[in-house]
Amino acid sequence: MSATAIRIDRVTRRYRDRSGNPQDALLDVSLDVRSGEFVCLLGPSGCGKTTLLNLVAGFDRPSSGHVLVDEHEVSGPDRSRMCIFQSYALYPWRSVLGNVEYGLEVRGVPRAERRAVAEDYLRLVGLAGFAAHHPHQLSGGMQQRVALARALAVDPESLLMDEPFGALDALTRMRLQDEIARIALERSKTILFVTHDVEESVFLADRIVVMAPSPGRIQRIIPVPLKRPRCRTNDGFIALRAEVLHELGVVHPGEPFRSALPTHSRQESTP
Amino acid sequence: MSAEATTLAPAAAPRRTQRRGFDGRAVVPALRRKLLPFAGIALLLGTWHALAASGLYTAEQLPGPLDALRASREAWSEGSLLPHVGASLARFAFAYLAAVLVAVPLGLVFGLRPALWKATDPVIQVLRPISPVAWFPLAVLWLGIGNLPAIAIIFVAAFYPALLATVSAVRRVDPIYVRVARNFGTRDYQLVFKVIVPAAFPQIAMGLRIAVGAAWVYLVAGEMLGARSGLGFLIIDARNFLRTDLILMAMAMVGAIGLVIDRGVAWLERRLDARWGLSPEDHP
Repeated sequence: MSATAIRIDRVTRRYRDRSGNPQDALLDVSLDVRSGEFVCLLGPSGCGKTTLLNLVAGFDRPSSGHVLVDEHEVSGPDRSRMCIFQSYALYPWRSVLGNVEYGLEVRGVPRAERRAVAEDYLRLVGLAGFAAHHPHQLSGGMQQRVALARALAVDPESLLMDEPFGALDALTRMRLQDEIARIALERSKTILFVTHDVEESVFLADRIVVMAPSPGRIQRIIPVPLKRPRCRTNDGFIALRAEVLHELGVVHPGEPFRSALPTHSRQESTP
Repeated sequence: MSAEATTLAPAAAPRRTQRRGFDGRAVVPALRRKLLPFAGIALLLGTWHALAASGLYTAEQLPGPLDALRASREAWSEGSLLPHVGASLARFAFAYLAAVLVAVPLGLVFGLRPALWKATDPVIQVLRPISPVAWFPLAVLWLGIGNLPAIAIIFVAAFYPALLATVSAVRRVDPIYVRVARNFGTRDYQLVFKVIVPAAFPQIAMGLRIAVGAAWVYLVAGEMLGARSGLGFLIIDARNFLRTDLILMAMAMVGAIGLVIDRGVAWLERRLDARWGLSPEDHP
C-alpha cells in the first residue's frame, strides 16, 4: 500500500508582520506523504516547518492552496492526526494513566475499557509501572513517552510531531528516537516529524524534506534508502548525514564533498 | 526505563549531607526555624504587657494580656464565648461560600469571554475600591439590621478577590492545553470542566485564600451593624460597658482565629500544589 495519506497542494500561508507587511511563512509548497511513511521536515528556524505541521493538524488554514488528508480538505483538528509537542503538554492535574485515558474519556469510552487501553499503551512506551504517578514526578523523556501513549491511545492514522525530542538530553533523545522508529514501524503510522537535528532526520525518515526560509519553501527532498533498524555509525549513515549537512550549507573545510546518493535518486523520488 | 532514570539522577546533591555528618548541628537550625514564629508572638505579648504595665495608660484604657485572659475565662464560664465565636464562624462561612459560589462561575464566564470582560472590567474596577465599610448605611437601609447586612459586608469583601483571581486564572491557562483538548475532539462543555477549570484551579485557589483573609477582616465590621451575636457584637457590647479587657480579648480571638484559618487554607493549597508539582515559586 502506498496510497497518499497527506497531500499538500501549492500551499501558501501569509502572515502580516507587526508593521502590517505581508510575510510568506510558506510559499507554494507541495508535498505528498504516503500512508505509513516517515517524513522529516528539516530546516533552520523560520523556514515554515511548524507552520506546515499546524496546517496539516488543522490548527491553522492556508492562505491559498489545499491540505488534503485521505482526499478530504482539512477543516480543523481531528483525532486521526495527533500532535506531539516539544513541551509534552501533559495535563499536570491528571495522573499518567489519566492523561493517557483523556482522549478515550472525551469520546465516551466506558471507564474499564479505556483503562485497559491506556494500560496497554503505557506498556508499549515502557511506563507500565508509572500509571499512578503525576507528570511532574517523571523525567522529560518519560513525560514525552506519556504524551506519545496518550496520542496513540486514540489510534490515529498519523502523528504530527513538532520537535518532540528537542528539550531532551542527547542520550534520552536517542533512546526515544529508537522507540518512535520501532513504534512507527510496528503500528504502521504515517509520521510527519519536524526537527532541526540532521542526525535525527537521517535516523528516522524515509524522506527528508529540507526546507529554506524567507519565504518558507521546500529546498530539496532527500530519500533515505537505509535499511531499518538503522545504525548511527555505519558508512551509509555517515555519508547521508554529510549529504544533508551539505544541502543545509554546512560544509567541512578540507573534505571535498561527494554525494552518497546514486545520481538517479538525487531528485525527488520514491525510496 | 530505570536506565533513563539513573542517567538523569543528579550526582551533586548528596555531597553536603556527607560533609555535615552526624554532629547534630543540623537539628538546632531546624528547631530554631520551628520556634521563630512563636518567638514573634511572644514578643508581641511581651510588648503589650510591658506597655500595659508601664503606667502610660490606666488599666481601664489598656488592660494587659493577663486581664484579657481573665476576661476570656469569665466569658467562658458565663457560657457566652463559644456561642459568639460560633455565630461569627457561621456568618463568615455562609457569606464566604456564597461569595465563592457567585464569583468563581462569574469569573469563569468572564475569563472565557474576553469581549464580555472588556465591558465588565471597568465596572468592577470602579466598584472594587469602595470599601465594604462604605456600604454600611445602604446595607442597613436595604437589609435592615442583624444577620443580613453582616453577611452582605463579608460577601462584598470576599467577592472581588475571588472574581478577579478566577478571571485572570482562566485567561492564563496555557493555550497548548486547549490545543491538545481540541485535537482529541473535546467538546466545549468538556473543555470547560475537564481542562479550563482544573488548569486554572491552582491560581483560583490562591485567590480564594486572599478572599478568606479579606472576608475575615470585615467580619467584625459587619457584625457591628446591629447583630446580636458574634465577636463583632461582643466588641460593641463591651464598649457600651467600657469593658476594655473584653474588647481586647475579642480582638485577640479574631486575630487567633484568622491565623488558624489562614494556616489551614495555606496547608490545603500546599497539598494541592504538591499534587500538581508546583513549587511555591510558581506563584507570583
